[in-house]
Amino acid sequence: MTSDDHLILDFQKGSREAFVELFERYRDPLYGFFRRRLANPARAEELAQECFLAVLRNVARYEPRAGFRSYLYGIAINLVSADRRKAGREVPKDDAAADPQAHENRDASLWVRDALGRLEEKDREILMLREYEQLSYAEIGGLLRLPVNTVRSRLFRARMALKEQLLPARDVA
Amino acid sequence: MNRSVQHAFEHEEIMAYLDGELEPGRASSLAAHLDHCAECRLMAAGLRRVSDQLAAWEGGPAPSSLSTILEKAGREQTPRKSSALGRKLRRFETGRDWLRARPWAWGVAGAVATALLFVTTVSVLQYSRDRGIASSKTAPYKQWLQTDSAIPGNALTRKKAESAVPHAPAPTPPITDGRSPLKTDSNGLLHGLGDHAGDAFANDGQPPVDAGSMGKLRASEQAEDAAVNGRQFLGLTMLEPGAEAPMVARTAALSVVAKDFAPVEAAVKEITARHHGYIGELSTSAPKDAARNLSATLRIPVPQLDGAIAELKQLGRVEQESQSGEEVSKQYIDLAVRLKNARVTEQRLVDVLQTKTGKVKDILDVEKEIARVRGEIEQMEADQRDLKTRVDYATLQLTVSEDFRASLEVAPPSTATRLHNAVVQGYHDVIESLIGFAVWLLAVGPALLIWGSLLFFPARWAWKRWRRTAAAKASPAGAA
Repeated sequence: MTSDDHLILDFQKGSREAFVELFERYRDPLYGFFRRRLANPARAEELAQECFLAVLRNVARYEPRAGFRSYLYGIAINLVSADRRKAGREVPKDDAAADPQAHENRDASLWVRDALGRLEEKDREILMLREYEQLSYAEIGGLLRLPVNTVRSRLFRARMALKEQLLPARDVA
Repeated sequence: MNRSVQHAFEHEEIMAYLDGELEPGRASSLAAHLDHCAECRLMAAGLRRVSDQLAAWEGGPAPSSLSTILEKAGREQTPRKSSALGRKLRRFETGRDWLRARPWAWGVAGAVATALLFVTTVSVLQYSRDRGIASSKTAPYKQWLQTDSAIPGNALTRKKAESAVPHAPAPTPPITDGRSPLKTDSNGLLHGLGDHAGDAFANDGQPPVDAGSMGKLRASEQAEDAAVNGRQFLGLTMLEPGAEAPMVARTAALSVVAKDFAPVEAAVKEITARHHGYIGELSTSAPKDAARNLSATLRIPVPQLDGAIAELKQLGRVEQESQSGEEVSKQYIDLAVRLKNARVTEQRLVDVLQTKTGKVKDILDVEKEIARVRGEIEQMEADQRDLKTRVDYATLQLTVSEDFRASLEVAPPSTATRLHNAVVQGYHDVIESLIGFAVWLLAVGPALLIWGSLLFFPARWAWKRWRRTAAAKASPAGAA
């Protein structure tokens, strides 16, 4: 299978098929990235399109330094930050999070979303990039401008916090 | 959670191992450890379950409408093939983006550019000024050199010419009219007002000429007339008619360090006398525990100057030597013209005095005017003589310093005195520093107070606002 970097370099040279291949590879993961961070699915789709468009229009400036995946998610993170700044800092709270009695009846994704919402923003972002985007510690550190050791320790902290919330009392050592 | 002491692996390392981020050697050791350690296996299992539960939250497949991006990809301009120009453009754009992300870099770049421009401008201006000064300084000296080479033995020649054209004709019996003790010479020019009657015609040191030199007197008048036209001047025209010989006043400076200072003064006097010069000024200083110095202004005839300098250089090691020349031709010509005009005026006044018969008041007025003109004439003659002397005699500024060797004092100055002096000095320094601080405070304090008051509340408001913003950022803003 051709690597992402080869595909983007082929696209730089004019191969439309290379771009199609990249698009097919990252369409769902990228949409999922935005969907998990934004409340509005339509807005997530818009930003996913903008992300691919940004790759399309700036492919001539692309240089294979940190890998295409980091490049793509770097654009995505910037788009999310810009969108949040535009929308303000007021994030609508999920009503179910305030009702502990409802926890047992909720869908697992809502549980996870709830638990993630209680983490610090930076820890949450690190955890999500690791768990969902499958980025390495180095890639995460490059995107968020953090040392690798900091990424590791904060990821561990986030996982421990989630462990307490998602697996209460059962696995306490 | 308590961990037993035999664990060589942190829980973070277990997590990194599960993520595939542990170094290979360490990873294999941990894998072996997990086979034996239930606690670590439990931790690993717990971390896996967290990941499994997180995976339950799926983002869902992307909508099909997202594929419209492919149509746009077809319409968008085909990206350029990578080329050297393209790579350069990308590097330029990368650099531009870097600058955009760091606005402070523009300020730094602007400050550096301004500083470089300022330094360059000052250097260029300084260089141009130095070149201008150097050329203006060397011009008269070069002119003097050319003059010397064109007319060998210039000063001596001028002296001979001047002796052939005397300023002082032979004294004639005074012509008095009973009203004022005036004397007229063979040209009818008046002398005697303010003069010492006995040596009125020998005031420049030149030997007086006998009565048989009337023809030379006529020649002197013709030379003065020629000077009016500005082409020739007295003393130089007789030898080089048609050739302009500028008059240059030479100056020189010489600084010497002498090992043996004792005979220096006598040597300077002897050298000066031998070269027919004279000492304008001489002073010596001999401070305690320091080098002795001799400073002198010597007037040396110009033809003898080089020889005198060569001999003075033998007194010790030459530290500095310089020579320069100032052309005074214009001043001399100007003086000659003014002198002639003044003499004509004086003669006319005398004629008026002798012919006019009128009131006593008018006669007194004419006599007063004659006295004034006479005074001007004598001043101009003195200036002319001074100029000639400056041209004939070069001015040499001589400085001789002793090559001082400090003597070793076996018994140093009193320690108690030194300590006392140090204490007094220290006290003075403390007082000065306190006073200086108080002065500074009084000078700067009011302005600091006013600006501090004006800026305190806005700064406090900005700080509080920033704190609120930072606190809002830190609070969990959950993803939808």
